[in-house]
Amino acid sequence: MEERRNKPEFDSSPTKWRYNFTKSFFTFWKTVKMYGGENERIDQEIALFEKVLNFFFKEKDEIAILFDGIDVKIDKVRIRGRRQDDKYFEDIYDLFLSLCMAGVVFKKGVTAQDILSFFRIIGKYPVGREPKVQAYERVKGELPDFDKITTYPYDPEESGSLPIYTASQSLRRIYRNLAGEYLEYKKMIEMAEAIPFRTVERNVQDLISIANENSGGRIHNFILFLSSIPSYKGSFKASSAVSRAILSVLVSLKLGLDKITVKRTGISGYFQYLSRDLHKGYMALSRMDEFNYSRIEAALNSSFRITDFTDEGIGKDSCSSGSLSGEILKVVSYYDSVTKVWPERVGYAGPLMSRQEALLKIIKNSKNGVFKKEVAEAFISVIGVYPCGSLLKSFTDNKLVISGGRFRSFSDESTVFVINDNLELEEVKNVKGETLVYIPRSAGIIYPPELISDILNRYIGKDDKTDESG
Amino acid sequence: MLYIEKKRELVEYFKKIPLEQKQQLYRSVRSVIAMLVKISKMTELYEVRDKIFDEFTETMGQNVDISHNNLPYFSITTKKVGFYYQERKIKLFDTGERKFRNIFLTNEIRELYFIKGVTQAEMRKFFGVIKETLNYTLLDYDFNTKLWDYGIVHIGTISDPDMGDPEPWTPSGFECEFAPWSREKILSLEPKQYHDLADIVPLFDSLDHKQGEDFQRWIKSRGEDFTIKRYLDKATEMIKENPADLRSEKLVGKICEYGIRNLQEGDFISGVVYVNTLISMAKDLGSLNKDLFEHVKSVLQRLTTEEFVNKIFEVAAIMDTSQIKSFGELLTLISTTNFEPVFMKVVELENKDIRLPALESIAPNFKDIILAEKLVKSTEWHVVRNFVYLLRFVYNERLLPLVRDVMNHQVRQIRVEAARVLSLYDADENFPYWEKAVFSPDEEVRLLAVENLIKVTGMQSKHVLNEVFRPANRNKFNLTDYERYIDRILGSKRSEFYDLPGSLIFSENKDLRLITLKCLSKVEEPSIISSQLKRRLKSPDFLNLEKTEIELLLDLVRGQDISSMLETLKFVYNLRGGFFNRKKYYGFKKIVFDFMKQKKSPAIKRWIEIASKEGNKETQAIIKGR
Repeated sequence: MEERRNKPEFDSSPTKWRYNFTKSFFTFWKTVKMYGGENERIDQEIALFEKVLNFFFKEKDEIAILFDGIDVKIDKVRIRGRRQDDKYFEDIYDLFLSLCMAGVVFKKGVTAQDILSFFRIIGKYPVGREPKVQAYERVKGELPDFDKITTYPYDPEESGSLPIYTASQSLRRIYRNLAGEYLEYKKMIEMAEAIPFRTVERNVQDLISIANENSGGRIHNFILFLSSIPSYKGSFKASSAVSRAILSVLVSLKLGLDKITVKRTGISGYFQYLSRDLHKGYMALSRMDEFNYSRIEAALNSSFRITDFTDEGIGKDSCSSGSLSGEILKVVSYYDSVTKVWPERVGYAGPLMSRQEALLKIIKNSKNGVFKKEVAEAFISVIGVYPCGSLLKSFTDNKLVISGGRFRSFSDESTVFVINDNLELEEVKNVKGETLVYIPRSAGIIYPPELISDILNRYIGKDDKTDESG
Repeated sequence: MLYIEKKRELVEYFKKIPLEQKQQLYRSVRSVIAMLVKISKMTELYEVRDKIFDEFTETMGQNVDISHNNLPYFSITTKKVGFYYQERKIKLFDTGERKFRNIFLTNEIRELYFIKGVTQAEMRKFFGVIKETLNYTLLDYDFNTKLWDYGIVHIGTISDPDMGDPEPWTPSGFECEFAPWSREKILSLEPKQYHDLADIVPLFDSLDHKQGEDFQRWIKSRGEDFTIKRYLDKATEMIKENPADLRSEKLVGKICEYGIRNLQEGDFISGVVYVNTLISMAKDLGSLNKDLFEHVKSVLQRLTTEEFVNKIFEVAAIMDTSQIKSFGELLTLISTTNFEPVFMKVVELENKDIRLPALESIAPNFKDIILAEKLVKSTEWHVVRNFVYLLRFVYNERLLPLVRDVMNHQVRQIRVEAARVLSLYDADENFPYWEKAVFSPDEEVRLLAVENLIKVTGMQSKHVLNEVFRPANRNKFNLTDYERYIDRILGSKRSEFYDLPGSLIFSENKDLRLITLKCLSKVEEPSIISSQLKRRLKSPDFLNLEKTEIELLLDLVRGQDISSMLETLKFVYNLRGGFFNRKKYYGFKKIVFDFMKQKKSPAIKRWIEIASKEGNKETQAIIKGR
């Protein structure tokens, strides 16, 4: 099967050229090692290597191949050998380790002669040895003083130790992964391909672990704020899928469900509206190599969901599968859908409400049995009386604020982001709920992107002053 | 899996430890990895539940403990070219090393860590994770997701998704086709008034946030089987809508595939729902799509083949308890047509927690008397025993002669089992058998015999029970026997038998008397033995009993006959010793009056009042507490 990156549309893809560079680096070294002197094969390799270098030199003055003990980085971007024809990666790792070399930088203007000379020297040394500083010193001693080629030593003590994410950095990664992958899954449905669950499973599991350890405080508030984002990278549906996953995880945890059920519910929430066609969604999610309960649950819930968000519509039996996750998703999907403004292409025809109006509707509909009472109450308990993302007015100083935390009750204190008249983030502070009022006509508000990214960075940044106590 | 911040803490902690201390661990860490490589190879040959892994679990536990004796946390770095500990390559000369390491490479794992406190159960699950990920193609799960699913917390990984350089949020991520609301629009929005809160706050305050019992019951009813059922209902609906559609064909194919596969892999919970769906689907498909009907029929026929039955019993032998109910449902299903082979497979199950419910499940399908005769006569005693156990759940009087036959089987368990089965039938009809069984060498059989003799109508069993309680036969029974018999007699509410335990309060065996009195003290109305009790209270022995026994006897002075019993006790008022030993009965009297003074019964209070008037000086002094 032809590799995707070899197709003509990827001719100018830097990713493809990064792989080409790695491969060319390897084959050049191997050829020199085998044939040593000058011959036809060597000429071919030099031509190919120069072609690859020239691609990068069009925009850059230098191109580097670096090895950190774990991965190879080309042009500072990590690439990994995952495909069938990427087996040479292992040899590259071996080569760098044996030479105790961390990388080579080729600068614009490097000559074919210098390149060949460089490869001849590194080709002299055997591979498969443990990295020893002396090995690099030997190579370095033999290399001429190149103008356009620079090498760097590898430090075995410090290799490969990338920083480990904090909980908030992990949440950012989870959000980006889930939102980013969603559109890929949509394409897969259309192409009748099997949707791989691994990434979603992993991210939902991590989300559960973080949420479970942070039932209050800044991290919990951050999770809630992430669920309020209406769109990410232009996709409303992807953002909504992540919101449903987040909220259904939080509600499930609040209900005290076991973590496997929490995970399945979160995954179901993510996939529930993946396809407009109920049957298509069911079939796509059912496609599996091995029996998988997460898939079964997701497929079931994708065929029972709210399609009519009016009061009459949400009372229909088809709105929930009747399972535990189905009843949780009914509340979560309703809230998420009615509080967001949707582009016409999505085909949403339901009401638009402010977040607090939606909560009042949920209370009303839990009393008449549309929503399961305990689930609705758990939902409200999780997101609080002024849900994250709500535009509010503080009547103590008459300023506009955006809710950035969970207000368990009106007398409870939590985080708000104060915005100035230019709609910029002015300050982060904790206030009591009773000093705030909501703004009914703010339903579906789209905040300036700068403001959203500022707020989100505050949850992660070191100068964070948001509420730690919850 | 461990929460990310904890992982960071561990790594920071590990960095701070002096290098020398960490380096001392190299050998033990190497032995851990070497063992894991070996185990990974074994997982390709055996199920992780196989006994062979018991030893591995133990050895691994020991190896990990040795490392943890030095440090509570150690981690192994996984690199493209090998496993490393403290930047030193762990040299392994095992051909399986590369394949095992591949798990970590394909799952982007940078570090594998072990925290002090790894349990044997965790270790076993960890082997399971290795098995499941060694050759897997990564569509739905990976090493990390499996660790999380299994709830392994003392073994974990730091993998690529956990690590990286900060990449802040940027505004471009939040740009969309809707323009952001302008400042003019936002600033012109009218907020609610403060007094409007008065309408809203009570609505939120009215939520009680409590989960009632009904909700808990509802949650329990929404298990995996419910989800699978709903999922398959949906599939069935789609198939019925378009039975000739290619999609329906695929769906039927998948339901057949997973029905069989899940059962064969020991997931009986989902497998049984699948099979039941196939059974009901087959009824509809007969008229909708002949080809699909034939396919479903052939799959259902597979369920009763010897090969399939063998396979499900193989996995059932090692299944966890959550599967027992569904496994039983499956057996009910497949034993309708071929009872004997299924029964014989059940008999082979070593775990009785699985075997006994399985026997109960297949029991309703047992109808063949000729087979019963064959099984009862089997030379394999455990076949007979399990069959007789199964008969507990088969009420068929035609089987009675067979049960009676094995009442005297040479194997004790069979005799006991037979007695249990016999006791399900009418006690009157089996009186002759119980009459003999009461002197059986087996404790359980004797007890069952007494229980059944009590049930026999009329007084025909009284003489048998009399024999049991006769002083001459007392050495044939132990104290526990008597305690149980008395309990059963008293529990039967058949007062015509109460005199039997009543007679034991005169026994020469003090322990037997005490046990009897303790049993009798639970009786609400002891008047039924009042004549025996009065006789005991009047007997000279009463004066010489120990405090406990005296109090137990006095405790029976209650109920309808209390007045006459108290009358009997009036002799105590003026009881005194002889001329040379005036205080002979002081101790006895003190026990009696102290005990009676605690009683709230008006009759007893009166009895004490009279004693204080009519009793001798010693009595009056005792009552006054002097």
